[in-house]
Amino acid sequence: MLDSDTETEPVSASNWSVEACIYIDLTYVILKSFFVYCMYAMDLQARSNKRKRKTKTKTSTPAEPIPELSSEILMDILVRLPVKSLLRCKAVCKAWRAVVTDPLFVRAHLQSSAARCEQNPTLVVTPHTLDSVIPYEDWPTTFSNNISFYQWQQGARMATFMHAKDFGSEFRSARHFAHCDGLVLAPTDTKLYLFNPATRESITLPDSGCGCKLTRGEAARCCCCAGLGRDSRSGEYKVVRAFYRSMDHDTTMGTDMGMEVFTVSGNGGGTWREIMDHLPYPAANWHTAVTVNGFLYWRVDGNHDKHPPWGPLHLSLADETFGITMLPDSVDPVFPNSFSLDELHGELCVGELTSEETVIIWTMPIQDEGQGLYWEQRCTVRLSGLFHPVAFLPGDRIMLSAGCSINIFDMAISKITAKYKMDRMKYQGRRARTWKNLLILNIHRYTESLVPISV
Amino acid sequence: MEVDKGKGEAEETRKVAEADRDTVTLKSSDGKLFEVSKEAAARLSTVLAGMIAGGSIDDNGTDLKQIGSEALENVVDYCNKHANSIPSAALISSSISFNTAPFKEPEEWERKFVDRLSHDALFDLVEAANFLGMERLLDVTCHKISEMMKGKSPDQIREVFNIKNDYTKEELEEIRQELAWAFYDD
Repeated sequence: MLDSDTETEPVSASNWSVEACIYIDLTYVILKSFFVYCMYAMDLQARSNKRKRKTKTKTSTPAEPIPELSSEILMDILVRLPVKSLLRCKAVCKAWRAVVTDPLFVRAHLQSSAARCEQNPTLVVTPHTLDSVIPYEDWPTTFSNNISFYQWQQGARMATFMHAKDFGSEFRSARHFAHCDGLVLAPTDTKLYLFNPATRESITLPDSGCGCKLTRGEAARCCCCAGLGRDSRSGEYKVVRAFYRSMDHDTTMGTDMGMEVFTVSGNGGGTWREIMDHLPYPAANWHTAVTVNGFLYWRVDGNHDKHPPWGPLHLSLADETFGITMLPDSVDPVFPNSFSLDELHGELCVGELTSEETVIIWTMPIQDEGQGLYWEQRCTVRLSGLFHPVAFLPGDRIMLSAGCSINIFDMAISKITAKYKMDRMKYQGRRARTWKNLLILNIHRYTESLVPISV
Repeated sequence: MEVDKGKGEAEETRKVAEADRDTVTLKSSDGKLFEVSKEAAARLSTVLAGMIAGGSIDDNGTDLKQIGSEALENVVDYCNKHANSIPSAALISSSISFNTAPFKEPEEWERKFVDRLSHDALFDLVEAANFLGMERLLDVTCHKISEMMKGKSPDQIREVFNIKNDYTKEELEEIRQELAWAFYDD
């Protein structure tokens, strides 16, 4: 039986990235000021003819169809509520439904939700079990087609159920998921699925319009690089996938990689559109992009080029152009297992495994060109294997994800002070603590949101 | 703290005197006067800070026509309590280097402060905090109201907010069916 903790799969460990789409304070402030400004303008009008609220008048409800509180304050209250409560608020009255579905409110709620998670990170967990175990498979092809989402916070004794959906036998293998603003992209060997587990919305993305046709038998070798991110210019969420324009019939490997984009919440007509910019290097197969501030990052496929660039490939979701982001000088991109690539507090993060059995955490804020100005060395973690940094915690601690474990590492005393075995956790609605044929858990940092999925 | 003051001093004298004082006098819509520390008012309210800086504070009671005496008393009470219980902003920001988020959970005393308020007093206070640009108090009061809403049914929320249901039975049924799962508590 496959052990979920072993990392002998052809997929490098670093791809179990835990992404946090936390936007910086500034965005929140700007948005809020704008919000307040708009509401204030509206409110001045309302104030002038609003009658004074008094306890006595409360009985005369028929003449009071609008809420007593100004819309500005109402929004300030509603942004603090969890998604489930807000969905219920839709049934309060038409005005409230209009507030909850307003894109400006959805954005403000997301910022508030992200700010709360900043204090105590929330994780979304999807356990992947196998229907049966076939020995000696490179990567199993018997994945359960039931995709479920659970939410967990440090200290909680149970992971709470969010959403589950069964896809019959549509796919055979699931890949690394991606998270952005409450949306979860689930790439599989055949289909791409997009979820908002908090609102329980989901879609199956249409099949690709590009690429050479591969039979189902060959599908395991077709390209499966995908990514999800937010175009910060248009505010649209975009799913990107790679395809091969041709195939080498001797090796049955794809050649000449291209990429295509699907706009989730726009007027794109619900179809894939090929990205016109030339892809300088092919992305590594099966990898799901790390998303930071409107850019997607993939490791470059080392097999396809004798001189790979010194860093990952990036795609600007706004310009739909590619580029290379340089790694810190000490990180050698030729050895894919020598570094991890993640998103950490809205910055690109590299974990460098050194020969001294320590991991150096580097971060870089991402600017408009997808290239930050500098790599900053944030801390050194004395652990002998790679992991994924999830979040910095107050008190000089860092949350790490490795295999099925979530660990809290205290940098001051250089020790793991708490270890959570996510595969032995109590999951809401399940009697057993153990999972039959559990292969791996998809664990991501998560921000609950109302972001709609519409095609 | 309520004070009674006579009018009649010359504008110039008042302004000079005002600059020297370390409190400001605020006047509620129903004419009651409250005194609050100038330092706390300037720190906690952007509107009062602007008025103090701009010299538009009236020594005989700055008119706040939009705020009733009960709400203003709570505002002043909050300012005075806040001046005693909260470390300076610089201290807070330096202790949590990674926490750039503007959201902060209410402190224990702030919870108690809003918990003791009646429903109406709370709603009046949130309006007052908003009017005076008191971000922290607005945060605390909004947090309290949002806590009151958690786990409540749409019917109960309508009652709290004094809202009329403008849906037809059919429309409501449609929403309930679409989001049936969200109407159950865990």
